[in-house]
Amino acid sequence: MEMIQIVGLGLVATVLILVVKEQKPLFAFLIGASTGIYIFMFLIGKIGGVIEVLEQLAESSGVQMIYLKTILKIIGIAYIAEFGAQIVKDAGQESIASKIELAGKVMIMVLAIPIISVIIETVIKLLPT
Amino acid sequence: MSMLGEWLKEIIIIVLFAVFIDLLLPNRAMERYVKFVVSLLILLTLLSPVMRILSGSEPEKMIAAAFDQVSGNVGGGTGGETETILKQGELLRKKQEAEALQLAGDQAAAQMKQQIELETGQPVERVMVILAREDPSAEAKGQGSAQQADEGTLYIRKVEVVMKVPEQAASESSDKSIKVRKVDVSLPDKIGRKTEDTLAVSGVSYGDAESPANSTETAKLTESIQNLMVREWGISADAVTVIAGVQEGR
Repeated sequence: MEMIQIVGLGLVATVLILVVKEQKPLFAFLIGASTGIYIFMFLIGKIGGVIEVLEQLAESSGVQMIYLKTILKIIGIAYIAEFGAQIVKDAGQESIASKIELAGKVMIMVLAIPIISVIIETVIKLLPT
Repeated sequence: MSMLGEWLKEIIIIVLFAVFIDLLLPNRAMERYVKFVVSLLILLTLLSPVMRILSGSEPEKMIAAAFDQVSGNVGGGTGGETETILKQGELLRKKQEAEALQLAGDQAAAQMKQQIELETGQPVERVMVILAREDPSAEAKGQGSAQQADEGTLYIRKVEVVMKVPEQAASESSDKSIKVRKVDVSLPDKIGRKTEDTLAVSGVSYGDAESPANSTETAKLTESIQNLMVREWGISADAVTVIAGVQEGR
């Protein structure tokens, strides 16, 4: 049922945008962006449930929380960057969208830095001096 | 053997998570980056026993330290700002609490004044109550103010009762027309500077009131006040010290 709701919302928004686009392109963009935000908000609740279950699983199985936190941060950054980039792309600003994606990639790499440093330290210690 | 089992479990769970995130990812553009980080995590999990042997510390702690270092370099300014705001909030809270204590003390003092006047039938000059908040294990806490708070229990640290001597008692005892007696009710282990002051003043003026009738009167009065305090407010009688006989003109 929820899937039908989302698809229906998307269809209605698409028709509206097609109608409005001839007269006012700005409003068409606004409709598109707000629809996107609505669907995103709807999905955030669902993803929250999934992540909660994952956290419980990790806690019960004794996996270190810092691993899970890193993984979840990566997912969050990927989702938000993707969403923002899509909206900007809809408005026709391809270059800004690519910048947002770049920022997302850099953020993910920043998350990797501590892990890389620890691994490299270990490897250096392993090597005979 | 149990360590090996833990290790295997950790690896399996991390790999499962990695597969799961692959499904969750929104688009292909991020995939390479996410896969890189996740593979680093798996590598770290595989290496964790080696790290434990080599450095003696848990790899998770090392990562946490590294994270702190990185985030401290990146977002140090915002962290400091938050800290100052939190500090200001704490200060405000303390101020409010002090005001609330003062208010509660005033109310308790008014109540005590009424009770003492009813009990002894003699006018009371003023009553001063000093409340404090201590840990619940502190002995002789006030029964009337045993409100549980976050930091501990409210209790009455000190009660100071200043009595007006009634007319007939004053006329009986020589030429002093109006006298003020001071009843000092305080916990001996918590005597502050203020208490010492009153002790000194009262001690001197006790010598002025030389007549034995006056002193027995005073003793009776103070005893009744002490009893009242014990009964109504739960202040222990051992903790009550009484010095009386202060002249008003002093």
